[in-house]
Amino acid sequence: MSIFLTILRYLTIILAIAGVGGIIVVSNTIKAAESPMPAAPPQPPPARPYEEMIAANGIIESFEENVTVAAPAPGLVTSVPIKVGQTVKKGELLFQLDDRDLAAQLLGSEAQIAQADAAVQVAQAQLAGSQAMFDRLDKIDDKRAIIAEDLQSRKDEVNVARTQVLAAEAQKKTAQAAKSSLELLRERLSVKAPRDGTILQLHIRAGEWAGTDPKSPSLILGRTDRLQARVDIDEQNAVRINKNQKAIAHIKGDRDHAIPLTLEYIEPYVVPKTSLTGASTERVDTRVLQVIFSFTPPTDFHVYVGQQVDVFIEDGK
Amino acid sequence: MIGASMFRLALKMLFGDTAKYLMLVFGVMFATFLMTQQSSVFCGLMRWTTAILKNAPAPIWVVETEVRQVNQTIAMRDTDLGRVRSVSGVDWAMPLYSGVQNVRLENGSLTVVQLLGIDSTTFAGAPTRMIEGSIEALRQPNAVVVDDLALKRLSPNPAVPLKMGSTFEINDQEARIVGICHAMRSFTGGPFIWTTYERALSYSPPQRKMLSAILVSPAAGKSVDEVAATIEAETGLKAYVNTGFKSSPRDFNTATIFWYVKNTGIPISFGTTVLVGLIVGIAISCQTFYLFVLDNLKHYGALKAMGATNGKLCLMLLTQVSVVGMIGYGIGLGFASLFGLAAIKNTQPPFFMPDIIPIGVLGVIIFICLLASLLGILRVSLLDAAVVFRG
Amino acid sequence: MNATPAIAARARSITKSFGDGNSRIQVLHGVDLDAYESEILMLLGPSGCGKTTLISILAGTLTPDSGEVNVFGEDLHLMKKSAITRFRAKQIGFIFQQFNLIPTITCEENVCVPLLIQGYSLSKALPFARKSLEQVGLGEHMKKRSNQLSGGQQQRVAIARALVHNPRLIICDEPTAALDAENGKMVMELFRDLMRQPGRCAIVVTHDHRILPYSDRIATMNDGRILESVPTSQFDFDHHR
Repeated sequence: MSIFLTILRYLTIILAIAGVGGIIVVSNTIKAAESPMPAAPPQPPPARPYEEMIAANGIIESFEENVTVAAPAPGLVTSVPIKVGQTVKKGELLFQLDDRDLAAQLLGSEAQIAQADAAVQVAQAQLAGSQAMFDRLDKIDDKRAIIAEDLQSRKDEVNVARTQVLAAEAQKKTAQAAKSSLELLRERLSVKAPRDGTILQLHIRAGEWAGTDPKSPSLILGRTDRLQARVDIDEQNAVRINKNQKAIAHIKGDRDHAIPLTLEYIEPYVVPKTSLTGASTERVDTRVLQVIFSFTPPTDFHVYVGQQVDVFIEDGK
Repeated sequence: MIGASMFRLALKMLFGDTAKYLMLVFGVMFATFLMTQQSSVFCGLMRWTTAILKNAPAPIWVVETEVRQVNQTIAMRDTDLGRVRSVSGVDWAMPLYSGVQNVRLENGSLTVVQLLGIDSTTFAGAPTRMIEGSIEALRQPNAVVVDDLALKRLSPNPAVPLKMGSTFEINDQEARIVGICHAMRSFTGGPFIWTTYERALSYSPPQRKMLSAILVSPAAGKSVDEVAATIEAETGLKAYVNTGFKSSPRDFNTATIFWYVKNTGIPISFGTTVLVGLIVGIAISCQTFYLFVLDNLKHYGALKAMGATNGKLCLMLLTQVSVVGMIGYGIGLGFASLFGLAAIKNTQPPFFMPDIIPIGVLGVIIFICLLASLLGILRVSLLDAAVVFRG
Repeated sequence: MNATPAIAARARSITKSFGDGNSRIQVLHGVDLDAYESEILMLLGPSGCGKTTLISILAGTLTPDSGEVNVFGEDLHLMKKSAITRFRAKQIGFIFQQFNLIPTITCEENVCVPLLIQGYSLSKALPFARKSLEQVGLGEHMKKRSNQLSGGQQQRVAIARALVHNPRLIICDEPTAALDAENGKMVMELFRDLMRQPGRCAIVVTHDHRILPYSDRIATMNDGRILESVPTSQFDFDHHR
């Protein structure tokens, strides 16, 4: 009994020491479970390029903006000789619309030209006949052998025949003009590149119906040898922008490559910002100054039109 | 003059009656346990209110001017990110979306989650303690990283937790688990879900403004307070630092906790419980000590008659009281640590014990010991040695 | 009796009262008492007559309102409280009515207490305590707790404790009041044997007439005054019964 009590007493002391040890363990466990403040995010952000700077986001466009090429008239596409990404020269055929109805009309107009041509020849032949008759009478020296009236009537016939030739020729020209007009209309259905550039988007394929809706263009043509970034500057930072500032851009998601930018122009009209977050609903939340910077696409990595960029503009002050 | 022998005598007197000794120790132990456990649970609960700050760590949080605590989200404009980035002294600044969203489970029931949308380039604000998968996997379509609590909470059958690759729906859009991490629990009890900022916006119902906070790091050589002050001056937004409770007047943790103290009844009612624990602890200990002194008063009288000085008697009393105090304190801490370990393992109830708690409790126990000894010493000094002659 | 035994303790014109104002009670009314060396003086009187107060004053645990107290040549009424406490620890042994042993420590440790108070270490004190316990015939109970002993044994332990530091004055308050007749007799015989040492004086307060024969002198008290102080041989037992 007494030994038991002694053990009990010593047990309290051991328990007390163990308790202090236990609380130290708890304290350390709590400290170990503390989420330490990470020194840097999992992917280090790009280094701050300028001591004083204006940051903004922008979107990449092709230089001098893109050309959205639409069909001149709604119609069936018969051939698309180009591919997306292909570089085209000015005047190169982009796509061909169905022109068979014009071709058919052209056949008719050619027949009319032939008809008019024949009419001209008939008129000329008649003129030649009348002229010959007149010349024969006119060669007679003794005018007494000829009735003066007769001669005059021959002369009139010649004049009529000459006018008929002119009329037939005019008829022929009309028929020719009608043909040229049809040819021009037909020509229009072969859509050609309005300028040098690269096919950025292609929405039509042979056999499809091409509409004329400007919102859904058949293809987008733009320059990729030089691109531009349309940068939204918060209106509160607008006063800090001038034409002589250096700027760089990082493609969103890429921290390693800085692209040097050249300021092209400042759009002089402050517009409501449309969100660039890519959400389905566009949200207007502030007014922004749009500044256009241009750059030559880097060779060591790809930059695509439509990508978002973080832009840093040096602020000289 | 005061020999070690009197200490031994005091200890022998104390240990002589094991039952009484255990009762004394139990009193102090109970007081220690009650105070340590209650205040740790209280601290844990209060810390839960700052869970977002721990789970999306960043040195500086820039928020809307009217934001007073981290669980409150008032959205800013998208371009505010650019303005904050423009402030000199900012190393980097990244957007954060934070919001409570509904998750529909496979069995059709709804549960709320804390959705965090972080910058998809740098993943600033990513959880620091990944268990499985990696944060880079967020770049996959519909990818989310969840905390371990979500595995259970978002599973239609609690017995079968979700795992890597499992899917669920946030506001009717599919989400696929590509990473699992440890995270601090939130005050509301909902699990944490991380995804990229852009995807978080598409998961959330569209609103005019969606940017909840901007996470900022100061440039090398600049202090967080300095940079936070510059940001506030130049942008007019509110910049808080995230350096830990009471570390700075701008600390977001402190602001959040004080906001809860001021604006909700929880801390007051819970604080009252802690206070009651304290008072009960003090009362129990003082009472048992005083009873012990009264019990021994007769012997102290005899010792005094036999020529023991007041000083010696007080030292004996102090020895007894402090030994009981320390052993009771130790055992009390032992029980508190058992409770704490169980709570930490279980993540329920909240348990957070800053070092100040055991130290503070030690202070209280010492105070109790001193108070009890003082009462005893008063009795012993005023004790008439002649009392022993009166049967 | 020897011709001129030296005086061990002397009290002169001691007055003492307790309380204030209306509830003030005068307990001692100018008491004179002499106790001589090598004798056992018994102080007899009814309860409330002031005998406990008197021995408290003689032992230095109470301060008289007026009068002189001299113990072995030291004027207690002139000394400071702390000096009296030191004097008491060295020169006076106590035996109490309720024994006042500490129940949670062993007999030998209890006996050590007066030595410990004087500053001895436990290991130094223990041999003296054992010797003292053997003198009272409790050699085999040294390791027992006092609450495991009978009343008579406990009072013997108390005697051992009172004598362990070899004091010259023993103050003894109703030593047999808590004991039955047989144990009381045994304790008193032991007490008398151990008292028989040169220079030692014992003052025993009692109202137990059965133990009076163990004394050398008897002083009777009533109502705060000493009525008589006579050698035991001249004491009129019948008158006081």
